[in-house]
Amino acid sequence: MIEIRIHGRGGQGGKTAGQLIAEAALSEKKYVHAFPEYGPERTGAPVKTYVKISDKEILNHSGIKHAEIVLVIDESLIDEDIVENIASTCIFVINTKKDLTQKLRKFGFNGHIYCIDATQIALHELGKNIPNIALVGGLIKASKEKVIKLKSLNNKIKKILEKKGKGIVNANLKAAKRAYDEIKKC
Amino acid sequence: MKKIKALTGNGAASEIMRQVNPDVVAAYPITPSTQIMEDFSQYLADGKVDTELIRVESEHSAISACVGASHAGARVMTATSSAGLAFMWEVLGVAAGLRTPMVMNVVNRTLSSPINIHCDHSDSMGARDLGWIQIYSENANEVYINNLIAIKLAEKINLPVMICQDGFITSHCVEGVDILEDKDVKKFIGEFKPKYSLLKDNIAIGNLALPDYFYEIKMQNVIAMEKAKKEFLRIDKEVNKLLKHETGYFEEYKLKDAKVVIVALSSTCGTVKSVINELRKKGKKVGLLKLRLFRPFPKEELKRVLGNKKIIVMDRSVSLGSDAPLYIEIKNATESKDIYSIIYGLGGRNIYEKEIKYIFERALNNKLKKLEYVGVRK
Repeated sequence: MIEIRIHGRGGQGGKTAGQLIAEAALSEKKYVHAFPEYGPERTGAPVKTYVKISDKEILNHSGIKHAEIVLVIDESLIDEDIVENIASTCIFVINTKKDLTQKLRKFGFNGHIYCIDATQIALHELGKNIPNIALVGGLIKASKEKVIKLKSLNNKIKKILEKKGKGIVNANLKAAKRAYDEIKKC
Repeated sequence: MKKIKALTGNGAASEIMRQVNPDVVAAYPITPSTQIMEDFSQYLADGKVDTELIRVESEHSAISACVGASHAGARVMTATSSAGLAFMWEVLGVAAGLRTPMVMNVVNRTLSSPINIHCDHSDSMGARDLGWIQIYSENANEVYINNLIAIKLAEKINLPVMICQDGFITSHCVEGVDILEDKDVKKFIGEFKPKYSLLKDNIAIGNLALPDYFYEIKMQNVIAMEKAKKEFLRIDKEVNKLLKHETGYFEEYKLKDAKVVIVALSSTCGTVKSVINELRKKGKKVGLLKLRLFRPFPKEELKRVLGNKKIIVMDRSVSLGSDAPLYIEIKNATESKDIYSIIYGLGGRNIYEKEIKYIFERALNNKLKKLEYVGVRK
């Protein structure tokens, strides 16, 4: 089973990113769970989203403590709590223009860190600060397509955004592909 | 034919409501069940259902409108949670007493105070004695299956049915759900043929009954509940032909040779199963009894399977001033002395595998106390 934890703020699309990964994995005939951990819903409040992907039926309904992949949509959320319980085999995928290696090392994380300026990509390709789909593209590359295939993501983007027109679909496909190509190991 | 859709527990409930296309839905949306009514309103706006959707000013009115519409001959469904269910209280009893064949999805959330939007079972447990059939669902797949059972059961016995699922844990979790084709659902539930209708028949509903008749009428409710037990099994098997699932009043998970068994409801059962798989690998004889039908309560059947095992009952609610509801029922059914009560998860406090493992291990070593509150800070 692969367990992913997504850290974002209300309104940044963390829940949608989780759902997108889950739906793409489902199309690859995997078992999935994707669920947000809410407080009372407020724009800007921290929201954790959990995604589990497995070849077998998923039984455990509790949240994820020991994630294998942590996706950070908002870098201001990085603190000791995010890094707690995370093994060095885990990978971090972070939306940032900076190199956050030192910060994460300070909190005791020794594993791989991948950084991508998904906000810039989203602003450029979509004209809006919605970095979630680009980040999923980056995550797919960082995990060497172990989580889901880029093709599955593309199919889901086409399906989910179909109603919003071809322009929006293509912009999102491009954003995902760019993050996939441009993500770098720090 | 079935297909797999990515749905939350709420999504599974609204999907089956779309397929059933009830004549009347009256609701007042409340967290965490809100998405059910959001989806359903969208289906109505998109012309996918032709239901009469009554937007009311409160849950008390929602259930009242449902009861009225049902006795006018309409197939009726609704959904609620927590304070919404509590506000329906008066009319919940009316619905059952009037033998109203309606189905309500209850997305379990705790009751105030303090105000809290997360899961425990205080809402539906509080409503357990009001004459509604109650079925609990472990995941979104079971929400769908249990709704199919409920519609037929309600209309066969003329009693209202609650389908319970865990707020947020199930209601907001996306998973792959097996969905039947629309036409297969329609064929399975058939057309609603009410035994009578206020609009067509010369009858009165909601009469006064003083001490000379009240008791006899109440006895009919008692008898109806007994009948509902048998019908549940029959309909459950019918649904199983369309969608394979663990049938029966309860699921027995590695129970037969188990020395220690946990009894629980809803999503926690999945987490318990996962722990059992791990402990079984180490040769520990542990099992689970997942109760599906809580009302009517399958007392004799439970006694037969739980017999002389060490029983741990996990309640996600408290009965302030007494023992927890599920524990009391299981103790009464089994008359066991080797039985332990665990209270957990109030107001949405997470329950983790390691806590369940710890409960099992201490039970195996005879170290469990008669009553424990798990996961609470001292």
